[in-house]
Amino acid sequence: MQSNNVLDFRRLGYYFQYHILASWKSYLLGALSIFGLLMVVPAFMLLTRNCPRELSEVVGFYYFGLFFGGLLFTSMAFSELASKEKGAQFLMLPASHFEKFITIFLITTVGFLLVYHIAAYAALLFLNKVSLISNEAALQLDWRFLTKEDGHIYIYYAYLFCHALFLLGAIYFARLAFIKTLVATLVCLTGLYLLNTLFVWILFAGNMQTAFQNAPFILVGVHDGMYKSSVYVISEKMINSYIFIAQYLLAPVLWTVAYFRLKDKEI
Amino acid sequence: MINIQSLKFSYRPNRPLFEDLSLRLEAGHIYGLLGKNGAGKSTLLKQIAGLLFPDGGACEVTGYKTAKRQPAFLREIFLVPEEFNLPKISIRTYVKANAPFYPRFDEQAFYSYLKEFAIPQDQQLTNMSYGQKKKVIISFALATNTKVLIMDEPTNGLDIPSKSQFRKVMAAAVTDDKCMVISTHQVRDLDNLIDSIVIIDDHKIIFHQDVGTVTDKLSFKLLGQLDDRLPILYADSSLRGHSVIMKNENMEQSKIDMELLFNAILSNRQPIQELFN
Repeated sequence: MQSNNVLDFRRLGYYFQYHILASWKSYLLGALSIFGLLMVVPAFMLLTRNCPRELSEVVGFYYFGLFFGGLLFTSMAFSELASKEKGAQFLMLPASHFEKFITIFLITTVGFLLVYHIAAYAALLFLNKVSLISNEAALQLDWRFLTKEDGHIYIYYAYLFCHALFLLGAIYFARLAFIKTLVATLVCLTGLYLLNTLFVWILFAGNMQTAFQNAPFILVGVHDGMYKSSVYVISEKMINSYIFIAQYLLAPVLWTVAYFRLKDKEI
Repeated sequence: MINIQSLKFSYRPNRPLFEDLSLRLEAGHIYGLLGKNGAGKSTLLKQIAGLLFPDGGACEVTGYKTAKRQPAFLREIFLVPEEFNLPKISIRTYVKANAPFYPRFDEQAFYSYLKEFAIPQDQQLTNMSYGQKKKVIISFALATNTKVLIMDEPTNGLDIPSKSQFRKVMAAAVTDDKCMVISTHQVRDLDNLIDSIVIIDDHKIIFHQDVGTVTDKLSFKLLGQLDDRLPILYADSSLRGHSVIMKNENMEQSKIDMELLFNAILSNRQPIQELFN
């Protein structure tokens, strides 16, 4: 029977096995580094007798590790493509582009998040011990990670967007993908901001002191007369559209672009 | 098996590498792809392997468009590149990881090829010399039993005994349903192996003949003295005498000298090509 040329679960299993057999040592090293680095924070606090009483005081380390570690790991996901020899081997292995992409996608999302959160939970338990020693009280868990009301859940949406961006960068840029993606993103965002500012200036120039009195695509501040100023904000419907796009569309669109970029890759 | 029709390709705009290149390679042959540096051999092999995409025309292998790199195509082709990178794993792990992708992989044959090449089977791939790694890849490539096998400079890095071992395993591996393409500068290493010659020059296929036809039409000889009365097409002088290519007017049997033929075609193309038209 002819197997499917896009997705065949047996072949996907083979590719997953191939990838793990070739990379498990570096993944293990990476996982141990994450554990080590996350343990350094409570250990340092124990040594300096500067232990936090509340989780919110140290949650920044967690988010920094999530973004920096996750995006660095993602940007190295297609490092084979940086070398002609490895790239040829990668592209010629008899698995479909989709199977290769989905394997890397799962490892950089589910795999990384799983390892990172196990490490972060272990660090939290350690921090709690440190708090019991230093403060004679358990650490207060005053930070909720997945709540919509205080916007904390949007940090994870932002992470997924950044993941998609850096995955695309990993395929697009042959070398130094992390730095190049970061720079390219900053250039694109600055370009968008300047373009928006130009249009805002064209529309409201007579009522603006400087062109930069705006938050791109959201609001613009103008002067009505000598002492009165107003802020024009986009409609709630528009804001909801933005939120919908940011939550559900941006990352999948970038993941799709990354997949097609992989299909078009030549060595 | 391999069918290239009116291939157009360029790395840079307005600087075409291939324009209207056509080539058909059949199963049951070992093709020698010969050409000077920069003639386009590696680019042609990459087109066949699906690592580069045509700008125009078509490149198909076993009926599949190579640029799509579909698994059904990839499992029928294996490329042994000149430069390669092997992971830091043992030979057994390498087989365990790679072999499942090739439905006709013959593990027993793989280990017998390794034995032929005298490669220790329990070694880490990264601890091997370049030549040993190359022998592992060649053994694996042959054991996959893919219909198309492409080798780019396979004898580079092999020591003298290994070159003869290479010829031996290659000759044993060729079957009627396989097409092997070997790109090489070391033509003397493969004189006895190649049964069809494809010469690429200035990004065009300038010669495509099987060895039998070549030896029917041309005679390869070593002469002590050059004689103007002989129908000599090309001569190369050395301390041993004069290696010459002549019209084979008397249907004499001679052993092909591919290096001489290659140099002859590049320097005196027209009269030789006319003989084959």
